[in-house]
Amino acid sequence: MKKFIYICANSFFYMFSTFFLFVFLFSILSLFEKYEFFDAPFVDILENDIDGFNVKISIPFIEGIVKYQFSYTIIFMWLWLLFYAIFFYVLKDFFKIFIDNELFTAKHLNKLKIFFRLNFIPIILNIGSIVMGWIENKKVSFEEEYFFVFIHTCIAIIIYTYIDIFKKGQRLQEENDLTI
Amino acid sequence: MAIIVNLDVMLAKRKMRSKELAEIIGITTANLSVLKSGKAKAIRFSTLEAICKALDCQPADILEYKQD
Repeated sequence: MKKFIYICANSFFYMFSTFFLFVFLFSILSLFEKYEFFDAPFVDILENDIDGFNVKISIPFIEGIVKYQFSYTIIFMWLWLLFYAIFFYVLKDFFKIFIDNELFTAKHLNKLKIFFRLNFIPIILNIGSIVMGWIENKKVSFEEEYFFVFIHTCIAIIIYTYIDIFKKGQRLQEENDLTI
Repeated sequence: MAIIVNLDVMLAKRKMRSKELAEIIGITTANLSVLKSGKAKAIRFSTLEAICKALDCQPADILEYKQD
């Protein structure tokens, strides 16, 4: 079961990193297409889109579509995808801990701390965007932001508990190793 | 730590090397070194018994209490 979860996290990491690389590469190519240097595959320049998007990238195999504007917002999209690629890489490392023979080591504790801290990035960013929405009186719903804050807070609490258990476990392991 | 391990003294008295004692009592030289340096957190009765047997001494000859 542990191995299965590790494989799942590993697959998520590869899926997200491939998705990130694909979107990153083709969003750069879309800039070239915009200025008519050449016709990039999977990229369509949109005109008069209802939602105001300028570009559409079609993702093969999964029939997905990514729409965006030619503005600084594209950087946020890259960062969002890059963050989740890193997140799943660290998650993969987190599950790897439970497969290893020795559980309570300083190295594993550090991995847990990194994963714990990583969860604060989306929490802070999403709270920031909710607060900015309130200040600017935007009439948009923040369901997605609330969802991400909730999910990452839950993960952070669980990881914090794990960190505490690992600290105690490490102390016991040390005592056991130093019992001659 | 208030408990002092006088294993070095007993080894010198019995003219025995650490490696030899480690082999007799069945622990690694690294673990015996941890014990001699006072870094050990605890000692098993079985280890203490084996040391006493090998060095022909009493636990009090190896362990000593000194107030900090």
